[in-house]
Amino acid sequence: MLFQFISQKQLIRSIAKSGVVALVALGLAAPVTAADNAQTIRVGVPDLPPGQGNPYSALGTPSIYTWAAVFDALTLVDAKGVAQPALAVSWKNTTPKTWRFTLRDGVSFSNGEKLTPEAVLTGFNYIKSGKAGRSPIVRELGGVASAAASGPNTVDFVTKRPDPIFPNRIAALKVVAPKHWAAKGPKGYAAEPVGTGSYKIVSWTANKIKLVAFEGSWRAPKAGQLEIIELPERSARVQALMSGQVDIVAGLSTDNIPSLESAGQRADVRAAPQVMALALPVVRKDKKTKKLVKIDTPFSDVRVRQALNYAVDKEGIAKGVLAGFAKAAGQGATPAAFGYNPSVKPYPYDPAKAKQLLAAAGHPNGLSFTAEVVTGAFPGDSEIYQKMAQDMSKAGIKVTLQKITFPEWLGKYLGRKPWDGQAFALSWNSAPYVDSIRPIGLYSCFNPFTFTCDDKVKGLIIKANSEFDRNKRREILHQIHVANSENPPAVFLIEQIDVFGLSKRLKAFNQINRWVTYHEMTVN
Amino acid sequence: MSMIGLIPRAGLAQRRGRPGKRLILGGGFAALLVALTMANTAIAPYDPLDGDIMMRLKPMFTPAHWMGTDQLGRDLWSRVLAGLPWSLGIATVATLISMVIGTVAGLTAAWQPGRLRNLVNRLVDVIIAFPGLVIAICLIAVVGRGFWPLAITLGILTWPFFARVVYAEALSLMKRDYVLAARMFAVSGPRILVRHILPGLRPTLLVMLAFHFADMLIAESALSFLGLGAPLSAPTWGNMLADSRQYLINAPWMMLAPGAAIVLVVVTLNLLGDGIAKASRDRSRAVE
Amino acid sequence: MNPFLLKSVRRLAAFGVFLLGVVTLLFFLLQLTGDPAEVMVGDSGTPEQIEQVRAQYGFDRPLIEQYGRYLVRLSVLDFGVSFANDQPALNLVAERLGPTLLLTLLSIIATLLIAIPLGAWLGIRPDAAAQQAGGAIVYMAQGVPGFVAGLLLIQLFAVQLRWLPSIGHDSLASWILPTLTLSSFLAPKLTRVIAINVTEAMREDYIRTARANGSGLQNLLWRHALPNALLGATALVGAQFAFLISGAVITEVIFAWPGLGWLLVKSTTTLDFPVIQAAVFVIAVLVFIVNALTDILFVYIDPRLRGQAS
Repeated sequence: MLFQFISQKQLIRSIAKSGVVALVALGLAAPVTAADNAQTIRVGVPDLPPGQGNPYSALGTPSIYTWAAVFDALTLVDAKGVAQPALAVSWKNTTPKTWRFTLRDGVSFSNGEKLTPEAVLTGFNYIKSGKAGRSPIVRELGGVASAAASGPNTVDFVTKRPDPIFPNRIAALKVVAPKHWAAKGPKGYAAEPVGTGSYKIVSWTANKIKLVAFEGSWRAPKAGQLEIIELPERSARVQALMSGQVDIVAGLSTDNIPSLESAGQRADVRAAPQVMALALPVVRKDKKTKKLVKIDTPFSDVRVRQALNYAVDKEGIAKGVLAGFAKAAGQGATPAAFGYNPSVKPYPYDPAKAKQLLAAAGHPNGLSFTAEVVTGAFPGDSEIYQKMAQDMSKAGIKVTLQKITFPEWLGKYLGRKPWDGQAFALSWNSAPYVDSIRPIGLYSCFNPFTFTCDDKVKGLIIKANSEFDRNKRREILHQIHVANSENPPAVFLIEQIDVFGLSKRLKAFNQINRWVTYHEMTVN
Repeated sequence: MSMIGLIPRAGLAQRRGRPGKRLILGGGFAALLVALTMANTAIAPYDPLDGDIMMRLKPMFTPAHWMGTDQLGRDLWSRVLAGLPWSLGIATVATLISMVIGTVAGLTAAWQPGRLRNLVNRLVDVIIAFPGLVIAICLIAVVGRGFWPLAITLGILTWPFFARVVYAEALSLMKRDYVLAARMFAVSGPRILVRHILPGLRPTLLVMLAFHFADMLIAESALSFLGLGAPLSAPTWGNMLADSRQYLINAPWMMLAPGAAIVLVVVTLNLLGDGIAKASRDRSRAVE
Repeated sequence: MNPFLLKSVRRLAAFGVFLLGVVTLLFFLLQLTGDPAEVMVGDSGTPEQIEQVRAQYGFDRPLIEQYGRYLVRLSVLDFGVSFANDQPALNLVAERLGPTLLLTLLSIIATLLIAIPLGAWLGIRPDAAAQQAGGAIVYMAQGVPGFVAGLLLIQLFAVQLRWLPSIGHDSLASWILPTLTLSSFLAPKLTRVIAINVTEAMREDYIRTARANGSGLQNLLWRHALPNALLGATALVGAQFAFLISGAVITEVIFAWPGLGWLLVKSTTTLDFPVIQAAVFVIAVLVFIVNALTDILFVYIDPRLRGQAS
């Protein structure tokens, strides 16, 4: 009955179109019959996975939008930063360095293979083999010494040091079908991916992936088909949603919401586990001696870094630029991340105090520097940086915003080219395991490419990494956030958000740290 | 490949003998634009780089903001004014670079048959066949995104178009009687080029100049659309247009302000180009 | 030696030099953009990973050696595999060649269909009020950047009226808006070229003669003025072909059209060298072929050029 109604409506529409251009009807006749009684969820994303179907080629966006439909890991980190069961139903420490995961019963891959400890080890061994040279998972699992099957249904991971957040870490390792992987290798797997997820891929063309329901999945979907379409231009994604051509679009900004609402569609806005910041480099690693050396920069003086934090109206950005959907940030983690310190508040907006601190630091006439930023990556980023520069100019700080490409940014971030004392945009990301230690550890003395190094923080990180008691560890992380606030390595701006656009006909949308739970959704 | 067909030799619509209406109208617009460029900070009511976030996205004819405000509450009229030296400047420099390199290369190829001609013509072929955006992205990665890098990049990308036209025109000029005569009397090469060939090229160059300038203006906005344009806070019209596309529904005036500015400049240039073409055609007819 | 054979050999040699120029320019340009090894490992990479990838792909070798290897591989059309996903670069390009050529062809046809009648109408009676107004609109249309035209077309026909789709490329209906967007760049230019050529041609002596002979205006237009104007059209299409092939990127981005332009921009910004090299190579070959064709077409259309064709 329901289907009849839809097809009739579509038919009427296509007839109406044929009145305009005779050719139109020809083109539209096909989808009406091909859709049949299955529901199709259509998703517009900024980019398809650059590494195609190799789940070890990337970690976050844009790949995650596609992989959430196809792959699973042992765990899935929820929005509160707690590991939840996925392919593993439970886990425990058998020794301080050993984590034992019990696999879910009766899980199969879309090619018929069964989930076994060997399947989990296939991916792990690849990551550890040295052949996965460029996989970001290599670093995420760098602290793991070995892994082995410990029973017909259990896998043991042995870490180099006791690792309290290992169940969160292992969420980065998607599980592949072992025989298919052995037969195809990483390249072949990229072209013909197989997973335990809700959908299996039927075709992968230049800008569209078509998937059908994998009925045998442990999380079988409600809608029969899924289409993931590459729509690089944000305004075009909005228009595609407004015109009813897609049901979900990722990567919008709050400024797109009025347009969506004017067309009767809606938006889903929620906090992302990332803090947008402007990093203020003070050290770099010398290429020859491999030792940290201080950069000759005004940022060396802690008062200058504090002044910059005082000079930005973060509340104004959150309310004005991001329509009140975002919150001002005062530390390198969001409330979702483990170890977030609620008592560390953002620096208040106080241009007079900023001027005073600058004068005390020997810059009575203000300061000028260049900030290198990458735009188009996060909601409102270009506007946020511009507003930041406007605010700073009121405190006598002249910031030249230099837009650079991601490869240029990367070349400096990875230490090939120096930052030359310039500030740069840096997102403090606690994903994938949603724990404060990830960004804090990354932007500390321990990073071979670090831009900042605080001995106090260094000592605390060592303590946190060996602390097994959850509450004590949280306490240490709190102390780190306090230290990073008193001696700020960056100007913390706002806690980022993710904006998805949703069509009227889509039901039960949900996403967990950008992991879209397609299997729960329906369209009518 | 011939490009001559692309260069209009006459205006769209003019009766013979009447003064160029288009030239007058175009000249008037051009004078207005130049005056606004000169005066721009003096008459801009607000700081183009600073806005009041509480006044964001105000429509046209809001008191105190007759063109409206943008997504950061900046006054669009002040930004359009501040964009004049940026956008017109980039287009001017790019066009001049393009014309100078193109003319020198085209004349060289026309004057020196043999290896040099081959070299120039092959280079022109290569650059024209080469996807411009790849060159732009590579150059911008090296030289950055300021005023000069953008202008130079656009100039380097487009000089071969000038070179082709100049080459073809110069070849045909060199077959004219007075040039052949000068050559026979052993007048030195550079002298012939400067005295006889260049003046002959002038009308074609002037017309190309006008059209090329318009193209450069559009190219700047295309680069901004792709995120390769001027620095973030530079109020170029291309940047403003690129920003405006997210506000098509709830703030269409953001597109209208820089869009109208670009259209005005393009119309001005077309009027001038056609007017010059017409004038030179009338003169050459008079000579005939 | 047979003169025809000699000419063919010369053409082929010129083609070889041209291709060598393109690939050489590309190789050294790309060296300026950055280090692909860094992009491959990403921001969570370790120094060891970067070194490993550099060694694996030979980026640690001397530049001149890399260039030599590159030329040797290209000589057998081996472009290697994409850095991003290990798929053969030429396949990725081939996959997008069809849609790109389709869009190019459609927009050339649409441009001609718009520009020839409009240009003839404007050119035949250039002083009439209606034509003056039409000319002013054509002037203004030239000042509208492609992405503005595209977004406005989508807003009107896809969002408001819901007549046409704005994404996909598998139905005739989905071809209309991208074609119009791409034509919006070319059509005003061509319209003006045609209008001017028609006006000019109508003034030429042989038309005056034809008029004196009592031929109708229609006849004049079709027999004399338009063929002449087509020369301008051919030149424009030839000159803009390189633009259409790779410069259609904005249209592709807005309409999710799987074309070469976007592939090229995306791979340039992610430093996926093999894909860039394959795409630029294919585009250069296409442009060369089209240029050769327009030259021939020129001679065919314009009898005056027949004697001097080279």
